[in-house]
Amino acid sequence: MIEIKNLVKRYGDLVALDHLNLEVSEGEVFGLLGPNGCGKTTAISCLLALLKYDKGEITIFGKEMHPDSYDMKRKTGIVPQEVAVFEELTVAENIDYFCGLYVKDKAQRKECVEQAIDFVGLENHRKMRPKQLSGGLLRRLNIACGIAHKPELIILDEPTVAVDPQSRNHILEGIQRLNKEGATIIYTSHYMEEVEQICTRIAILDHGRNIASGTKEELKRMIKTGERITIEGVALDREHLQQIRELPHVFQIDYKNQKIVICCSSAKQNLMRVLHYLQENEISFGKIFSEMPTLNDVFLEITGKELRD
Amino acid sequence: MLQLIKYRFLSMLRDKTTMFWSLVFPLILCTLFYVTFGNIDNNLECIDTAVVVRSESQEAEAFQSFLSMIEESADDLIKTKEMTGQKAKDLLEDGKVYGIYYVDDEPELLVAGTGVEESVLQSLLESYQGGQEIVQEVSKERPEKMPELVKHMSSSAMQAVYVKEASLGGRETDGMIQYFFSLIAMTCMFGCFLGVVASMKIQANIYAVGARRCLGATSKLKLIFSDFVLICAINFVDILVLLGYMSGILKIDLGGDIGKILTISFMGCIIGVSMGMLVGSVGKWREGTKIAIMLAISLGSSFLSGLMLGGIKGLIEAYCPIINRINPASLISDAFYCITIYEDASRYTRDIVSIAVWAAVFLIGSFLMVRRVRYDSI
Repeated sequence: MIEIKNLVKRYGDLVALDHLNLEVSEGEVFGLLGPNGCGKTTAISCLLALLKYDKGEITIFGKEMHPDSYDMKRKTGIVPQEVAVFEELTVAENIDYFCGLYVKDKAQRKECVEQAIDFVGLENHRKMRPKQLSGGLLRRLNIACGIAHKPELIILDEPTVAVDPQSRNHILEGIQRLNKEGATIIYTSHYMEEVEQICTRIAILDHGRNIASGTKEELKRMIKTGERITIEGVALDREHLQQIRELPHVFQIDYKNQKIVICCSSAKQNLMRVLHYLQENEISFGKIFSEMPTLNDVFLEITGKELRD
Repeated sequence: MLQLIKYRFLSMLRDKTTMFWSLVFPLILCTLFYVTFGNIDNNLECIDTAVVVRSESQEAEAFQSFLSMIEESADDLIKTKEMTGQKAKDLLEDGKVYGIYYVDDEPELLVAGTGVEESVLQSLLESYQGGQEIVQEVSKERPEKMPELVKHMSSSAMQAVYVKEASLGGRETDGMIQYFFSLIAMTCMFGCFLGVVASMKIQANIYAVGARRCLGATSKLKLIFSDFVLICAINFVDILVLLGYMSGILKIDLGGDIGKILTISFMGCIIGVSMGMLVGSVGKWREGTKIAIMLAISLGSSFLSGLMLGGIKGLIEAYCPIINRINPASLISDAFYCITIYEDASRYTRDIVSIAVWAAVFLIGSFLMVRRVRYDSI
């Protein structure tokens, strides 16, 4: 559905997009994950023909998007990072206005507006103005304005920034519902938990480049870390640390302040082996837990730095 | 498109700041103008004056004749009544007379205040004293010429000039009216602020809501045109309110054909709004820059049309007339002059056509700047 090839965008000397390549298939929830400033919003703006770019090709629905490609715009919905509503209009009026940019038929538009209000859960706030809404409700209004016309492609640019947990869950559930109803979703965020939760395929961006893409399982398989075991309140000497490092499938350990983090490659029984070692050597410990790798681990291994959350 | 206009109308109507500057501020300014200039040319009421005769000498009689002639010839300027000194003082204290003339060898005046009426009485006395010998001579040698002499002296006292104003083909009117014309022109030009803001709300690099509207499936031409129509209508209603306030409440006689006044006002709205939309459409300028430019243009053009300095428009016409041909505020105020004073149909038509042409140029320029635009940065 969407293809981006070798996209380059410069702001003076700063290369915001550095030969970016992306592909989004119809029907998927495609996540664009990366730290702040990695080029997610710039990529979206170029995709939507809002920004000029220096090099590359972009196609949506098989065609290149132009500022006057109204047929393609009719099939696209955008939820921008910044809340984009009229301060002087009420919730219902805002949704009706923006839906009216796409849907001309009055009866059809009325139905779309009611469904959008229902979808985001703003029935009790329809006569309120944006200033009267909390941050979470405002984000919901922002979403409603972008999806009221039932587009085939929905682009959400960091829709949960500064949003309370309840609204965040509501938004994420809503996105999954939209996808089930047939929309293709592009979801950009720097919160890996959200992307892991709802996205079927993910691309990780850093400094304007696509450094890795695939399903979350594919991405995690790209890295060494298969399991991470953390033990707190444990006193270990150099010999113990060396022996733990030599355990099968352990490739990295980090010990500080009586807390050890053991990175193991993907294998069964990693935790059991570590517990067995501690028992044999009569080493007491406080808390122990095991985690599967996260997208942050993927980012960390590939770039050497954390996703700046 | 009606649906777009409806919500944009609600949005603008609820914007209190914009409504204040476009509707309330001109009314306040109009009121201030009226308070400052409104009654400045009104005729004085007849000045009640007491006359106390202290002497029956020839000089005293000459002065008394002078006063009588003034009363008869100078159209209700003063009304004298002879009385005793004490009674005259009592009336002066009660405010029933403005002054007391003491008819004597050397006439004197006693007043209780410093208003316009008292100043007129003083001026009459001074003009008599300045021409005292002439008055005495004429009254002795050529008494039949006394009325003419008195009339001359009384008009000098009223600060009349030795030239007579005559219209070149139209009507005479209140000289202060140009300020009100300029105020109407300025209010038309204030539509430019509505135009600037409306234009910026279609630009993705200034407002987030502009980005959303850019990405809508409605053409920029429709968005711009619907906003333009709406803002012109709002601005025109503001002008109607102002005109109604001027003529209905302040009773200012603007003169002229009401249809033509409304036509000029409407054209003024169009040019103000379209100019604002043009400036607002320049993509590279930031919001603050556009507002500052618009402020400078609207106030500058209003100043050059004579809003702050009465004679500036004439000065420009004498030394650089091209400015008056392109300054929207001057075109508007000149059109008002044409229908109320000059009765010059061809000049009026020229002004209207110029306004229409400039408005079309601004609007087309605005559309060409925003259509198919992609930004360097957002």
